[in-house]
Amino acid sequence: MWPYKLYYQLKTTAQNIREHRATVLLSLAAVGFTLLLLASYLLLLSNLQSVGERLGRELQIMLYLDKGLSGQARARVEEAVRAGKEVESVEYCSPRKALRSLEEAMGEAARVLKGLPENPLPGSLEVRLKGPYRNMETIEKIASRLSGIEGVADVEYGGGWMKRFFAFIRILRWLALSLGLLLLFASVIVISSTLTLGFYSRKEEIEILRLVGATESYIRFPFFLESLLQGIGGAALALALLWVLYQIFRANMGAAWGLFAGWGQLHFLSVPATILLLSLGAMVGVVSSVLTFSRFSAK
Amino acid sequence: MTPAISDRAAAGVSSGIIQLFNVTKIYRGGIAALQDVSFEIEKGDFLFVAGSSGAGKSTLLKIILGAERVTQGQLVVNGRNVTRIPPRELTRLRKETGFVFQDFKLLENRSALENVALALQIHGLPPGEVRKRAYHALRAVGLADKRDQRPLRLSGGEQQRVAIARALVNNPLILLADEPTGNLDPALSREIMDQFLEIHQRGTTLLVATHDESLPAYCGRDCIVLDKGRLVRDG
Repeated sequence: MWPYKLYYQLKTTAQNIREHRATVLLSLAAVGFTLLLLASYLLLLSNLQSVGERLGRELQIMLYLDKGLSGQARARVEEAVRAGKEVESVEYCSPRKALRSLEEAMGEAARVLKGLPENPLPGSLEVRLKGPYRNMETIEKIASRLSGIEGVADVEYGGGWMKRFFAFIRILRWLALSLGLLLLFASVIVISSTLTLGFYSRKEEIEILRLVGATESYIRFPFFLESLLQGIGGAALALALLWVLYQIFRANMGAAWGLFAGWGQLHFLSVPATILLLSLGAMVGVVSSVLTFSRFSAK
Repeated sequence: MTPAISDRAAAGVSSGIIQLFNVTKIYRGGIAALQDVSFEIEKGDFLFVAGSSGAGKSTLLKIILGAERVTQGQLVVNGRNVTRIPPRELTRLRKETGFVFQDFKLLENRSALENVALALQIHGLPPGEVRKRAYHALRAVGLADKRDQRPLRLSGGEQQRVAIARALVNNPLILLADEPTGNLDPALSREIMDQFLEIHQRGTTLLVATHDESLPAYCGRDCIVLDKGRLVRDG
């Protein structure tokens, strides 16, 4: 019996949508654009996060050595650094090599360096960490430990701006959560209003169905289905629009983004993020129908 | 129905399909629609409820159908105590009870056949079976040839007959009718009453609310009278 019941309910859903197609389309567009805001935000966050992860992977520690350090003393420092289980490699850069690199980097302006009485640059050790230790917290601890080695004058690992970058991403994540909740709530209101209109326009039919003995679940299921379709449809519309916008952005601004992000490459939302957005759409649909039903039951 | 129906119900000696024991219904705002009403209808009976507007006739039918809750007293329909009925049982009760309204309550955007089919679809019957049974129900009320017409293309009497077909299509044990001829002229009213007599002949219990006191006489059936929510004439 239930397959036929489902058949009649699906027919009713299709009829509901057909009869109120203008309202349903309007609601779908409103939900789609609302979720587009959320999806765009998620996409930005996801790309910034990838940039952060890539930068984290490239993190290395620079140890500047005391000036005039003897070869033996330098070897002791290197040995002490290599002793750490987190260290993958250590490369020495002599003061002369450092000056050459600086000259190359400065190009024409390197002439100013010619007048210097002596090479002002110290020798340094480039310390590369093993994969699992390339994150801000660990690097900070290791850098602090290495700075205590005798013969090390200074330590640098770009910690300041990286810290600010990750703090920025953390703030964005919180904003995403609050904005997300707000936008989802707005979507619930939109779908719930459409559903309410549907309830009112089919009031007589619902009353008749109740009187001839239809169960509440039989009556409500088509509305539930309509609401679910609107939620998922809205999310799918948002994803489709975002994809188009993403392609336009990539074609016009991709190079600029690469420059800003350094090693970062632009990417679209991942499959789990896409599924998450569609699930959020479905959830919006379910919550809208539950809210609408509870309002009607109260009446 | 026996003449002393209220006495028998009050005494609890009954075998009726519909039994009311000191039923009172008070709406929000303290309006008493029914006050201490007791009577019973036996299976296969055909009874009229008469009374002026606001006497409580519609409320009486609604509480029997479970569309309104009883404030005080007990109501038993086909062995079920409707006063304490859970939603699932209420649904079953409604499937056993047909209901006909004064304003027909037909969906204007559906054909006569589709209106009747609505009451069958909720049982999950196959579409072919639904069409067949809806067609037979319409034929039984003489409207087989109008099955594809929408309600607004039908006369008042025809619309009421579609509503009767819908109420009967599930072979209910009880048929409740609230002012079924209220919007019809005398000739059409008699046509509907003939239909009810035929339905009664097939063994269905009928309870018909009307303010037209000529109808019970036309059908030769008993009538109880309500006045301001109280039972003033019994059988």
